[in-house]
Amino acid sequence: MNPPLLQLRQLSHRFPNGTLGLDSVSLSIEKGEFIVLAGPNGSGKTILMRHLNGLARPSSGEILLNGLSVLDNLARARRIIGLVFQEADAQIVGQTVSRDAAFGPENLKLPREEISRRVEASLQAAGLSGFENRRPHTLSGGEKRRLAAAGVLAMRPELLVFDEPFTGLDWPGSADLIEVITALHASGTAILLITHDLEKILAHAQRLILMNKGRIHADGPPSDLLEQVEELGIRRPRCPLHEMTWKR
Amino acid sequence: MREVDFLHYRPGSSIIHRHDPRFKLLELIIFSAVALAGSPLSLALSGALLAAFHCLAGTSLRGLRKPLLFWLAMALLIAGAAALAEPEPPVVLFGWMSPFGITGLEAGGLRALRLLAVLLAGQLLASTTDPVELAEALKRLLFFLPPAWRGLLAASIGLTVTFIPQVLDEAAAVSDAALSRGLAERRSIFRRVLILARPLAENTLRRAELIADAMLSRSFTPQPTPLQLPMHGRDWLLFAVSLMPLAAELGQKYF
Ligand SMILES: Nc1ncnc2c1ncn2[C@@H]1O[C@H](COP(=O)(O)OP(=O)(O)OP(=O)(O)O)[C@@H](O)[C@H]1O
Ligand SMILES: [Mg+2]
Repeated sequence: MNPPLLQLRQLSHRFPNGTLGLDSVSLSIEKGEFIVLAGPNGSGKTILMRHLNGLARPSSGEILLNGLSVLDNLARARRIIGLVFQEADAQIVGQTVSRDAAFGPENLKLPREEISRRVEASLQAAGLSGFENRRPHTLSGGEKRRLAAAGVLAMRPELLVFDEPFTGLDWPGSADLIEVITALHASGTAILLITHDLEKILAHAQRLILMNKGRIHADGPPSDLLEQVEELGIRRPRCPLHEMTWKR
Repeated sequence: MREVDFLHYRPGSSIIHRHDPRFKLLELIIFSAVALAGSPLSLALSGALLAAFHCLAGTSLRGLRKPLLFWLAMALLIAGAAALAEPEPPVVLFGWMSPFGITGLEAGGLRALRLLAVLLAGQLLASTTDPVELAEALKRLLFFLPPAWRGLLAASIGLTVTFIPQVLDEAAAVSDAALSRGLAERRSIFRRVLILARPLAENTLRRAELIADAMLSRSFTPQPTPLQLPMHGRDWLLFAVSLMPLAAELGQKYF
């Protein structure tokens, strides 16, 4: 049997000041899955995400990507796992939209023609065609978020991780982003989406992971876990599961 | 996000925007040298060419407002100081003998015009050239340095340029927050600066960390796929035109 795309084994992380950020977290992610990760503020979601491509180093435990250690091959991990951070502004490094989208593929030292192909495709997937020459800082919050996703998409990752992608987005902004995310999932990319807003996205997920105090509190199909979310201070949407989406 | 428009790149597709950045750098150097050291005739020629290039680039007067205001202040200072230093023969206005000398005023005015030309040349380069391309051009012009140095140089220019608006933005947010909590009540400007400095430094470092995370996640390397800088006939043509002030200067000197 093939190893899972990503496997976390007994992962713990202690911050320099002694706080335990992650407490023996084990989970695996298969190719093409759509997972929502939820948990109260400070439960360790962001620090977990920073371990996935080796930005943070575990105090103990290991992370395997296709069966091989992430830390032994950071370049591979950063190509296969794309992280979209919460602060869109801090992710944008290009002076124009298309320059920014080209940043990742340029770092992969791809040939120019391939870079332009990828930039065009990823801007299109993110609904940003026609914005190529705009200055990123003149974009709206939703457009910036989608540009941050496009920049990661251009590296053709197999797993895309979004940290609180809906923060600060209005309904149309969120709907556009959900459109992009579900289309990516349909084309085979695995999605791990960190959010408190279950009502915006949970209908599309096959799996829900609940975190609390650095541990995995529960992990399973959303329909089984909805009962438990309010214990963790996450609002349970007052609608049937299949209506938990802001997609238009 | 604050819009910094002085010495800031504005994307466009004019012939000046598409002009090869290596030539643009060389032209900046030539224009500046002629403007600073050349005869008034060569200076005038440089000025005319710069004005023409700005027109070609579609520079708006609004975009030039800040550099021009800056220049005006400097020009008044330079010309005023020179005119005061040389009071003979004096400028006479409606029978009033001013303390300003004509010769000094002329010399100071010329100096101010030289400064204007350099400023316009710098503004032209900065506003029509993507800093990434500029860094690449610099990298190629400094071919005699070791490749690792050139890679780092280009990377740090790109980063600095990315970071400037972010720091300004952070500064604006920090000072807004402090002002809305009554900072202006504080008497001493020294204390005010200190109060602003700490959160600004902390937030900027935090921002730097976030940027570093994001860049590493996108496989940052100082040696990425090199940019293509194809040279066209029009690049040589513009370069030839830009050589005119230098040619005029040399012509006056030696013939
Ligand atoms: N550098 C650090 N040093 C010490 N403790 C830290 C550090 N970074 C984070 N923490 C702590 O680790 C815990 C987990 O933080 P993390 O950012 O992963 O939470 P989160 O689940 O993403 O929360 P949120 O929903 O607010 O984004 C928090 O209690 C936080 O205070
Ligand atoms: Mg977080």
